[in-house]
Amino acid sequence: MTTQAKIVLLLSSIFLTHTAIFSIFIYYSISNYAYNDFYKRLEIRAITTAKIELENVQDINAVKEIRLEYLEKLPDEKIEFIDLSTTDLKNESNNLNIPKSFINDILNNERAFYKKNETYYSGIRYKTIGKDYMVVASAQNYYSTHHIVYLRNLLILALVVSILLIGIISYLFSRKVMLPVRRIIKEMKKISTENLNYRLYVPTDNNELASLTSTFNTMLNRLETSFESQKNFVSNASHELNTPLTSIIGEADVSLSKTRSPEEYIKTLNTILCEAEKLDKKTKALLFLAQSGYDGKTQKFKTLRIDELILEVKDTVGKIYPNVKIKIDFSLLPENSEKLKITGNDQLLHLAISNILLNACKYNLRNDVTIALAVSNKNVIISVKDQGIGIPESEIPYIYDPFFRASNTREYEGYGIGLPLARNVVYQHNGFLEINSEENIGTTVEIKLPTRKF
Amino acid sequence: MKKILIPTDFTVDSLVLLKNALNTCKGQKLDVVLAYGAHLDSAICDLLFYSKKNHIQKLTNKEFNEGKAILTNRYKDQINSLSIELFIGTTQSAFMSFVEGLNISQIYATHNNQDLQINQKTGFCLYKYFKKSDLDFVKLDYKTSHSKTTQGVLSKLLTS
Repeated sequence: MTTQAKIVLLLSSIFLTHTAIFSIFIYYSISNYAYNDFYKRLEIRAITTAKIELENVQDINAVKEIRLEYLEKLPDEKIEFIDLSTTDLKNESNNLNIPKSFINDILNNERAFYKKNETYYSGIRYKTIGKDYMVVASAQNYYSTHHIVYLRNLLILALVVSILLIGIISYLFSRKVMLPVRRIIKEMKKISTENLNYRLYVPTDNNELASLTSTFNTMLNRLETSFESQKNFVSNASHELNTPLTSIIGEADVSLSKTRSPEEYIKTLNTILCEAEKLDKKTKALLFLAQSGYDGKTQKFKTLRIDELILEVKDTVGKIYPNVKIKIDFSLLPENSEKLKITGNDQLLHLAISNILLNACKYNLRNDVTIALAVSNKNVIISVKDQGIGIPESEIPYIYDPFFRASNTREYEGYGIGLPLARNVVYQHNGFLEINSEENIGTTVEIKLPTRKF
Repeated sequence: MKKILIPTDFTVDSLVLLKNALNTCKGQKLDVVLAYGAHLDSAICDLLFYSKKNHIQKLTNKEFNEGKAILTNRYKDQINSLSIELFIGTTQSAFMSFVEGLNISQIYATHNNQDLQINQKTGFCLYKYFKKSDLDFVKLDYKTSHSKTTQGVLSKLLTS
């Protein structure tokens, strides 16, 4: 059964039970009250009539007045007097159609009530000087026969109508509550391998759904990172390996096209050796890239030293761009080296920082590339600065889109994958990435990673 | 231990002054006071429930605190204590009492009072009080880069 149907059923049954209990309670309270009320009215009539009939003449005028003015005649009103000293109670009970238990009650408790069909009986024992009487007043309760029946029918009708109403309302309510969930399902269906960068809209007014959607978005971030890093490896590999191979093949081809002098052959072989060594270096670097991307296990975070990581990254990038001078600025490094520890995945972080540094070297125009490190109370801050081609201001909002390449990068090779990859890794580590750039002046990238929590 | 006063405007750029002061006093252990001239609210309710901590919290921001932490971590051996003090007086003698109460022996600042960007609504420049006081005044260089590429906390601290 769907949650929606469950909600409808649950709500309806709760409301129904509540309304039913409520109606029953009201009905029985009112009937009870009506009965007691009527009995009391009968009792007053019995008492006043007893007084009038059995007392002395002097006192009765006032009572007679009261009787006439305030006690109207009830339908089918009958008042019986039974002299207890003279009559035989057994016969009386048969004559008057009242049960013995009723008579016994009156004798024992001085007053009693009894109801037979629609006729109500109220009996009292009236003792006065020399006389011991039992007075029984009886009448038909119009109120009970008509008004209470009307109330009962009305309540039943109202119950039926409210079932319908409650059913409709709870159905609409369940739809409204499930609407965000349905929306999320619809949006999730759009996500596939082609558009892994699509993210769900996080609602601001619902905490549970907000945490659900943001957790899902985080999962998508991780998926996208691993997807992209696989794609990255494949495209990087094919390109980077291609260039030196092409030049090796070209050199060999030219050299073999005709007989040449030994010096020329030596020169060719040297070139081939040089290119092969370059190829070797690049393959090693790419293999490393692959290791971080192809990690099939869940990401394990461990403690690592950020300054060591930066030095490793500098080495790696230095091999790929040996012409660029990479300067390390450790002038604001904390004196306590314990503060340089962070928790993270060293291969992923290496990948992210090396991508940033590779970009800095690739697009650099003049001077050196500087990478600096510092630690504040909450974060470790890494700053990579180059004085290169920069990013045009209008394109800065798009730099994190996968495969996006700014308009001024036409002369440079690249696939537009490094930066989104780096950002995903940084987000995975609960960090921030900030880029400030000016066209033809340079670019500064700041990576903030949270320090290790103790 | 020497206690020095450095004016601030709660921007990361002004923390460069702190860095320069610390570099000037290499090897010495210092107590540092970052001073800001603040206007007090004139509403009675604010005065009744005035709290220096809340006032400072309203004036500082995340980047400033981050920059401050970076410098505290870097110069841990040199900085014995670093505190932010608000000067809420108006007269020169009030400033002298302020300085005396804090036991300040030297002021490290720039000669140009336009360097700090103080929001005139919340604060005022302390430079004229520095000039008239007879405390030791050490001049600092102040070079900030306002280019678009240096906007992050670390890059701002690294300029100069």
